[in-house]
Amino acid sequence: MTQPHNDEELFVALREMWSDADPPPDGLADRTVAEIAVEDTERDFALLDLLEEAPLAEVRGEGIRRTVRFGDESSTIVLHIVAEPSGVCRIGGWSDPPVLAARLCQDQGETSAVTAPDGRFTFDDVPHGRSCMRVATLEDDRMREARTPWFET
Amino acid sequence: MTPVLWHVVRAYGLSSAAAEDAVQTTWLTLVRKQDSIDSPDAVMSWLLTTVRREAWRLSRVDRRAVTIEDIEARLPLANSAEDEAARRIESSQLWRAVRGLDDRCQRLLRVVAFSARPNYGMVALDLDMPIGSIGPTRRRCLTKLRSALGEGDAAE
Repeated sequence: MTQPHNDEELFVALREMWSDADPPPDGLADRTVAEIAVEDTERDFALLDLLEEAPLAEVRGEGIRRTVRFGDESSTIVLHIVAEPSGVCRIGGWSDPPVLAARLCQDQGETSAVTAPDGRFTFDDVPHGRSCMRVATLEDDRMREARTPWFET
Repeated sequence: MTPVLWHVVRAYGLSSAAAEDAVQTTWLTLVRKQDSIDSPDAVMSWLLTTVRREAWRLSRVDRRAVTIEDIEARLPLANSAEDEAARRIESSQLWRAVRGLDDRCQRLLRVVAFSARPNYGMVALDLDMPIGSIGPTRRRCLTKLRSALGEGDAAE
């Protein structure tokens, strides 16, 4: 390769090399902004509607499960709330459009979700009690913040 | 600024997931503690310090450290025939030369490459080196790198 002439040129080449070889993951900046957005309780969150609340159901291998669906004209969130034998819950769900970040708020504190690019998310070890979710989604390159009504876990 | 934070924490060998956590936690902490930062000029320095601390903390618990193969797999092939590849081929040659350096040199050069004004005190702490040896080590690493690049050229 053409030898960089001085240290500064060499560092420029190194920056380019590492930027090519190991760039930040796609969407990291958006997800970071979304995490900041869902933490800000003073932000103006759109309130989603409770669209459907399925009755409790025994699911083999999972335990007692309840499915709740929230949404409005531009977002849908489905939650599967599973009561675990240890006395806590696991919440798994998905959203359309996919959530970039989600928080579960309860009287005893808040928890961040583990999210996936396809819209799935999970909260583990959730105590029973009154809960709601704040989410940030990306719609047509615009961030949108929304929250669910309170629901019981 | 996010790419700079990313490269600094990756210099610690954190996995992609842990590095992402470190970057996000750093920005969240900035938002939470913004009132405690005296001037806008101090923000970049504060971010770099905080992300290093977070990377250091996570490096103690993270067991999914990045491997050389993870990074190498993303590099374009050196013998690519595509027109756009010239710079990338150079990057690939540079990568081979960097990979021949010891771990300390690789980390030092990556941190310095992405820090406009590297805090040598912090770098010394990161790399467990006396602060006075950072400058000489940096020079020695650059010399080794130039030498490796020269050998690569001679071999082609």
